[in-house]
Amino acid sequence: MSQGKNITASALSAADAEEKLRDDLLRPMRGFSRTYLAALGFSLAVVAWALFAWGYQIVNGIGVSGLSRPTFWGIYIVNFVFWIGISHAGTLISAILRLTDAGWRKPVTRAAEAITVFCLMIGGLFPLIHLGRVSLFYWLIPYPNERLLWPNFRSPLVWDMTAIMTYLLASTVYLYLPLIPDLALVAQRTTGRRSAIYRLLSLNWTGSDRQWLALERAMKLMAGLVLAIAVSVHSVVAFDFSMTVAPMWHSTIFAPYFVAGAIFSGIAALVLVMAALRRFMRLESYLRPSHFDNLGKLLLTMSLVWAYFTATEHLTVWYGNAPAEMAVFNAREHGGFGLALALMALCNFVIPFVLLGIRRLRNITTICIAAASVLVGMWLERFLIVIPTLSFPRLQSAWGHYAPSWVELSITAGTFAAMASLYLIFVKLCPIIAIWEYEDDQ
Amino acid sequence: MISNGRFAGASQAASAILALKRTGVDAHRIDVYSAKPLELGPGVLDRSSRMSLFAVVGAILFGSAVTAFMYYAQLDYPLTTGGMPLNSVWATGVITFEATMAGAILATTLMFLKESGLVSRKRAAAAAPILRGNEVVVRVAFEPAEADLLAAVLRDAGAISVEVMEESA
Repeated sequence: MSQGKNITASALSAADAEEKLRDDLLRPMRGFSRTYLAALGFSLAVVAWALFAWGYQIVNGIGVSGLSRPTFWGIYIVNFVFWIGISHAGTLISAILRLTDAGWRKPVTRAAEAITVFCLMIGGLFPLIHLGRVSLFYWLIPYPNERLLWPNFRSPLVWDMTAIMTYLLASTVYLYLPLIPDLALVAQRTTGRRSAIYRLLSLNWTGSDRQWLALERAMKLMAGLVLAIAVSVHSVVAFDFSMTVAPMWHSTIFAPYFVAGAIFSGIAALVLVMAALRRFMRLESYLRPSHFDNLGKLLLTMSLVWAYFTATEHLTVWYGNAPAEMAVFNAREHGGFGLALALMALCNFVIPFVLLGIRRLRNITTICIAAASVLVGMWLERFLIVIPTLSFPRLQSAWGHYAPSWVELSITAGTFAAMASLYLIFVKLCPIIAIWEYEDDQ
Repeated sequence: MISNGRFAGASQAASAILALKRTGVDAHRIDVYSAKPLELGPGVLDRSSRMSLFAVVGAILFGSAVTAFMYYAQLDYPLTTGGMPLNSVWATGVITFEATMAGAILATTLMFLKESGLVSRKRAAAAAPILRGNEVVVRVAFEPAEADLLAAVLRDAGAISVEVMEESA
């Protein structure tokens, strides 16, 4: 009899602990602080300005951008590669950690997976913005046009669209499936129309063993699939460049170089998002220093991998001494892009190496500084890949100069603000830490 | 009719399931509800799955269909390729790969929905139990004649409470 009482008492205390945990993890969804409203208002205002700039470009034509002969790919393509790279933060990192059964991933995965979906949405916009005449986008869709001409499936741009759409599909499913049990929990704890919407989104999840088993099986399969897709997506983005016989683009290591860079920038973005969540959503008990420490070590590893690829790429070009390649190489090293190259090396290698490599210096603040520095460095890296090659083509008489216009800069700022807005809205709609996974870990 | 046995944890629930199976209750009549995934151990309540098989089938079918479509489209309006083949595995391999992966994802998602019963046309036998903390509910469907026996089995296995209810129509 007393044993039965003990079991009941311990079950009750466990229930109370879980109740507190759920309450804590659902807290970020409740209420709107002044800081939150100010951040959302500011980011939405910047997005509105960017939409105005885009509208201005649609009405007046692509001539309002800084794009001109010979540089027809400007910072729109830099941003495209940058955002698709960041998108590797979530799904890829989450998939690797899920497959290796790394227990510490559990508070991190949802925040990471959401980054992927939003970055893909933003990154996927840039080819459209870059088109100028957005209405002609449908030419990429496999549907014969007025002259019965199909899209050219041999074109890396069509590969791009296919790869990004597949990745977006995979990432959305990968984010949504483990969200279902938490949506059901939110449905239980809300009332009225809100509860009905959450119940609908949770597909009436009940928590039966059949559902848990199906979810676990699906997530394991999806993790494997998502890994393959994520690697292929950034390889395809690299093919946009390396399939062109242009100086310093036509390189066999471009695909792995891009994938490494994508994971590198992705981890950096994840660190910053987690730090913001921890600070502003008061999730200190769940996003602990150990999580940042682990991500800091991953960031350091990727910094070394990136440095290795960059050094290999530059050394091969320098040693080959081909005139067309050297024109671009010299422009990057000593010409107008020299400062950007030095900054890139500082941000992507020196700062992370010092702050993350020396154990005594490694804490949440320094990891965040290193992550911010990596994001700046990786944007510069994309810039240095895209612009110098186009500015210094093989024909010397065609060399030119590129400077982005206010329209391009506004749209660029707008995408960062769009990312912030989407994230701020998501935090209020869904639990940002997977509650059931966290409970399972406890 | 339905009986809900409420247990403090997974190990008690596993003993209850084994006891139910020993009394002749078939596994498909048993459902287990929990707030997080349960480790019931091998042989307790094994559920077969064809998710992996369907993922492979979906991948092959969708990948093949898209490849065939590209082949058709390129023959339908042949572009000048400068002596290169009109259809080339190298040039379209990326799309074939992506379509194969998309097929696997779609099949996995559909199989998840089917095996989890989330989009089943069959109505649930009764409302899902409300769970607190680590509680696990073992639900068993039974004929009226079995009521006392099954309630006793659940209690003997350590159920905190046993609730009997009518199946909804």
